[in-house]
Amino acid sequence: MSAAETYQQAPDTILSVEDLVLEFPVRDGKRVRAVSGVSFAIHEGETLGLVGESGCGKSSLARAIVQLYRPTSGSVVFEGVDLTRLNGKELKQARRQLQMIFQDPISSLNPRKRVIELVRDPLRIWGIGSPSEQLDRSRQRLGEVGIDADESGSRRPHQFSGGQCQRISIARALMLEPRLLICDEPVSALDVSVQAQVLNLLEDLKRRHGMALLFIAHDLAVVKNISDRVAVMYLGRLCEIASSESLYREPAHPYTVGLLQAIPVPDPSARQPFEGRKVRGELPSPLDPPSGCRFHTRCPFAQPRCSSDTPELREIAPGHFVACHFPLTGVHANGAA
Amino acid sequence: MSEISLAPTPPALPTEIPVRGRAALTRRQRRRRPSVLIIIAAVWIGAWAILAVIANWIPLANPSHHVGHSRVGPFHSWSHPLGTDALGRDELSRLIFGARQSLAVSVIAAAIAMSVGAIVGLLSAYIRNFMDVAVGTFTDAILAFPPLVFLLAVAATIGPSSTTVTGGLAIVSMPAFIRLSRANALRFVNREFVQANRLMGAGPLRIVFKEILPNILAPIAAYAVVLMAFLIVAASSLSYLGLGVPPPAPSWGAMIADGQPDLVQHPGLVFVPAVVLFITVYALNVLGDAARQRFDVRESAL
Amino acid sequence: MVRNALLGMIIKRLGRLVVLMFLVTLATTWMLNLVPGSPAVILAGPSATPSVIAAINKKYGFNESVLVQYWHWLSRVFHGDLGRSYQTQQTVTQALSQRVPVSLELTIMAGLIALIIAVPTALYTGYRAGSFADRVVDGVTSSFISIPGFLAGILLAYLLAVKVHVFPAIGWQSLSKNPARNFRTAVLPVVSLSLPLIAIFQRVLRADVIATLQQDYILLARSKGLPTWKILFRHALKPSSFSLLTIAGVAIGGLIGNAVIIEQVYSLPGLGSLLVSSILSKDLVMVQAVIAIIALVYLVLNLLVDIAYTALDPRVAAQ
Ligand SMILES: Nc1ncnc2c1ncn2[C@@H]1O[C@H](COP(=O)(O)OP(=O)(O)OP(=O)(O)O)[C@@H](O)[C@H]1O
Ligand code: SF4
Ligand SMILES: [Mg+2]
Repeated sequence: MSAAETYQQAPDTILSVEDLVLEFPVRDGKRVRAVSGVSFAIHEGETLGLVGESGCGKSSLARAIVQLYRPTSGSVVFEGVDLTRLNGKELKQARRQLQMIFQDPISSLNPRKRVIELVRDPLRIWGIGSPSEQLDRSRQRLGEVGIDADESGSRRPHQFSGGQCQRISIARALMLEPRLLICDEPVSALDVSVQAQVLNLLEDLKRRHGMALLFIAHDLAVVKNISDRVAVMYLGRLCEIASSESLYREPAHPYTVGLLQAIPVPDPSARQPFEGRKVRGELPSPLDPPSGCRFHTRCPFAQPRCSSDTPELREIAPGHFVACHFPLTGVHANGAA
Repeated sequence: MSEISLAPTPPALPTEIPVRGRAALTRRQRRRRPSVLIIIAAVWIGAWAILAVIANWIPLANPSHHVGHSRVGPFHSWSHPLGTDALGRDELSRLIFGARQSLAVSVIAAAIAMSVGAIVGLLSAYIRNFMDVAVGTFTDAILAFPPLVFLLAVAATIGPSSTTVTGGLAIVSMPAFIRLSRANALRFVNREFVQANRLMGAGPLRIVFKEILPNILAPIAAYAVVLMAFLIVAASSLSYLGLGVPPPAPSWGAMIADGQPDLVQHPGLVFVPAVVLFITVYALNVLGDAARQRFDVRESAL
Repeated sequence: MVRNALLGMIIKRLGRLVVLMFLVTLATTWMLNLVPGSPAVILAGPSATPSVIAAINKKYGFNESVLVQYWHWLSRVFHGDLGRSYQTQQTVTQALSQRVPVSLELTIMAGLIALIIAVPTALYTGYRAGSFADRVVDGVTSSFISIPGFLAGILLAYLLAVKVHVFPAIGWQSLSKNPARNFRTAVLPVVSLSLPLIAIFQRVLRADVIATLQQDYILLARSKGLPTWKILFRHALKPSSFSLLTIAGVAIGGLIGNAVIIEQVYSLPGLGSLLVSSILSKDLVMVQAVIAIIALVYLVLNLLVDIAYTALDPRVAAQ
């Protein structure tokens, strides 16, 4: 809470999300809370990694930020404008520099269109430049992502591999020169070898265009190298946000620890501190989330208090926020081992 | 969808044919018509379409005027190769101008039904809510009549004319297009590329017409071919009942009805237009099947 | 659970049926008001004096608004009074009671015959898909589907009544008066009506049979050495019937439309010929009643089809 406020005041903040809630109506008049009171901020040019297991609400959060799903409550302030209050033309204008890349590379591209047209679309929608300028810029962008427009610009998406489709999506998202690019698991659907290429490409482009990234993934390994800070999400809520360095070195939330253990480590002795504290079981249904700390049904450190009181995000070290009653600071962690 | 053709029954079909088990069919089990048949069908339809278009410029007798003895059989004279009818009118000329009539009515009705139906179905899929309810009630109300009965009711109230027939046919054909277009569009409205477009600032019109419509055009056009067979049959049925395009304008159905009293002595008066009508409908069915099959294959390859 | 779902679905559909019937009859009233020329003039003849016309207008309420006319019609219908033909002065109820049995007999017989022929054919061609017999049947059903109803009627009449005097070319004998003669008069119309149905049923069922025959339990039955016909009829038929039911509603619509035409071809005293003759003579009361009856029958049949479909497949009810 307080964290978000301070972030929002910082002059270099590009996006601040506050107490965001997104509910979906489901059968029998019930509602699922896919996102349940999330607050965080992203600074200019920063990469924030967002990690959580499948179904925890990452895509929902991303879509609620860009207003593809209208949030149930809370605010999303992008470049000083609260998107949740906008509609129609204003929203179109405000979102111009906020673009997104989707999880499924193939279905992100209209199967009936030629690649060059797909990439050119944003310019056409905004009426930027003459047709020949539009084509030139499209070709150039395609080149930047490693697709030769002269050779394959007139092909259609199904003639490309998943990795190539994701490159085309990236090129398209960059056409409007966004200041914040949300990448919703851009590499999960790709082969491991291709994953690295696309990640490198994103990092490279980010540096060149000076934009901020919200990078979503379902395991900590993927975001490790490219994120300045990392947020961990569980069942619609944030558990922990910290700089990458501090999160990977001193994880304080038991769930983060569990996720870290899921990363295969070449040297088994390096795993040490939390061995034997694996997170077990399935993600509970968001239809009927556990009371108190949502993680208590699976948490190896759970205490009676955990099932009654909801832990709020609080700062346990400078810039390191955790939502846990019993965060694993150095002492705890060692004690647990 | 591809192995079942139900053409001249009411046009509510394509969305209702279950897809169940389709994938299990092997090539051999699918009905694959020889391509020769498809070519013959296309040539037949093409020839009649051309004749219908150029009818005014070929030296034909006036189809509505008495030109000689009545009931001259086919192949008796060079000037009237197919003979004359009970009123002494040239059969060949009536056949060709009848084709012009039937084809014009069917093509225009199909075009109207297709464009309106596609757009309404698309909007209903994109907007949902109230639009869906309104559109659903409208299609249900039309489908509450067997199509021919609806056409009869229209002919009864507004009076038979080529406009009424065309309009009536367009309306009875519309629900199928609405459902087909809605069902296909629903597969696309939540796709990521549509969301990406919204983020890029595309408005609803652009999304509906430039992003979704091109994706659902193929099945709709394929169905339009299938529908043509139904339209030709329905139009000629109305003419046969005397509720189609009013006389003396020639139409295949009316020619058959006119010839019926002379069936015993002059069967040619019925059988010549009958055979032409039958082959035309058959050819349209063959082409419709082929179109649907073709579209199916492409869709699964995407 | 399933039973409740079924009940709920029936109630919902019944409600929709009632709403649609109101819409349909209201629409017909409205459309009949669009008929060019005043109905009073049509009734009284062109030479009638203005006072006669005024009297007729008053008697039938032709001057009222559509909604008022509809309200009058509706309240009479609820008292069992469908009105009286402008032309013959026969009550509409009387006319319907003579005509409906003829049309019912025709359509029911045609449906039954189509099933009797299509089911075994579909089972066989599905079982032997791709064989010579399958291709022959495909050719035949393609023709059945491509031949307009009135042509089939004329052709059969020409072959079996004119060329070979097996059946009468036109006319009707009612079932109650003389069953044997009724049969002779009914054969040609019923056969003409059943041709497109045979084709539709055969095609839809064949496609499903092919899919069903690839299921494991059929393979199991086969490996047990059950005779083929037993496998086909006992094990393959029922699970293959869903699509048949799905298209049944549409097929019925086509059947009713075709019946109108076939009655005309064979001069049969059914609902269809009543509809056509009332339209041609602008007997609007009759037209409205016939259309309402046909729509009602059609909607009820479709409802029954839906219920059967749901009863066979509970998953549909759950949706
Ligand atoms: N349109 C929707 N309607 C109803 N429920 C939804 C909808 N979209 C998502 N949900 C539910 O919200 C929850 C979060 O889904 P979401 O797609 O955001 O998860 P995710 O973290 O992106 O998972 P993944 O890694 O699989 O993409 C899930 O329980 C999902 O069932
Ligand atoms: S609050 Fe309790 S249950 Fe939740 S993570 Fe912390 S220790 Fe585990
Ligand atoms: Mg997701």
